[in-house]
Amino acid sequence: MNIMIFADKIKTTLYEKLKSIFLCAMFFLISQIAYASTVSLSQSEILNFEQINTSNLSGYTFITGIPQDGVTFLTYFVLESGPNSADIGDDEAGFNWDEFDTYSQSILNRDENPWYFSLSVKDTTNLIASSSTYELQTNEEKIFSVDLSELNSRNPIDAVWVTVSGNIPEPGNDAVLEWDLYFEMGEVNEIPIPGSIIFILSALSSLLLFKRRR
Amino acid sequence: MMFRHHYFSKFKQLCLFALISIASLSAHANFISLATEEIRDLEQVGPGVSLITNNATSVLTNYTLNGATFLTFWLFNSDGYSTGSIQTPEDWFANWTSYTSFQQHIINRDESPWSFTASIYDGTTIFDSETLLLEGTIGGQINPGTTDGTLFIDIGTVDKANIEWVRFSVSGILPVNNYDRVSEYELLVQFEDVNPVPLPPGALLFSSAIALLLIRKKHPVE
Repeated sequence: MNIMIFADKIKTTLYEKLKSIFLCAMFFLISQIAYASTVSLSQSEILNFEQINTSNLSGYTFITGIPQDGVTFLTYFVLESGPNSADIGDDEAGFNWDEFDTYSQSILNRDENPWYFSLSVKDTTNLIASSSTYELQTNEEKIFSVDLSELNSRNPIDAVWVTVSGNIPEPGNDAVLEWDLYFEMGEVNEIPIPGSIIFILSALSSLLLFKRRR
Repeated sequence: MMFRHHYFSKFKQLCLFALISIASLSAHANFISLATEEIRDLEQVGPGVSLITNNATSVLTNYTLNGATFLTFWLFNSDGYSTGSIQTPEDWFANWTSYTSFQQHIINRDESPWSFTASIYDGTTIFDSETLLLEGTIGGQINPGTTDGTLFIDIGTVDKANIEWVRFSVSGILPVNNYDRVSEYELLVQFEDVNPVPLPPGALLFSSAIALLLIRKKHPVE
């Protein structure tokens, strides 16, 4: 009789352990789903950036600095007036971003005037996903994010670029722009809202389950 | 008799006035400045940016009312003291025999401080102005005397009939402010003499005035 009770106890304990392991595995999987995978280009990848497009033929871009966490660019326009823009990036990117749903990069305006910036990604079907365009003041830095789920395919990524624009000449006859592209993300929202909701729900349900069992 | 004396006095006054005018004119320092079109024709000195030689590239980016804005930059591998220059074209020459100084107005349009120098070559010697360190600007604001200035060269000892080139140089210890390898500046025609009556002509003017006073005292005008 005692043996039977002992065996039943062992069975119950094993069942409880197994259930805990199963719950842990479930939470781990849910956490993985909830985590928004963000990709950012490294310094060596940013160093491959070059000017790939301009609104007029008189825009030029050069790399003038390599700080510890990014690259400093110079973009200038010669004898232009009115709205002008330039795209600086890698049009033979070939990245496999299947595992990522967000592309983020930080931009700092080094210039003495405010300029407009945006970030874009293109897939092999020529579909383009872009961040919002923001005006950055002198010495202002901002993280730009692109939702990669807007693309048809994330492998391979065809092109990645930054668009800089302004109404030339800016004050002081300015047609010259200095800016930094950083790979250090700083305060990127690594868990965006939909993912966070799943995460909270899974935590709550596990709590309820645990309470019920006790 | 009285009538003749009156006319003589008038004539004497006219002569004195003419003398004083001539003295004043010679007392005024004549200066020369590159004209708007000459500024816009300035060209980069050297082959331009290169990862091997660390040369500077200089580009005209915009015309302004009395001059032009320029950009001089270096690539990321340029460090330490560096200079970039723009210069009058190869076929340019000037005869400045009737001038005593060269003056050119310059504005630092960049957000970082940069140093500027003007140079003149007469075929044998290069004459440099004093180097101006001009502070940076934000949003095109100019603080007179801080973000702009006049590059001045006394051409008294220059072979003024054979000016072969004029050069403007920008320099800094790269990277300026730990990141900057790009200088933006504006060159303009100089309209006002920064040194209107320099000491030797000033002394001439003063002497002429004293001489006039003495003459008038000796021969009072009736």
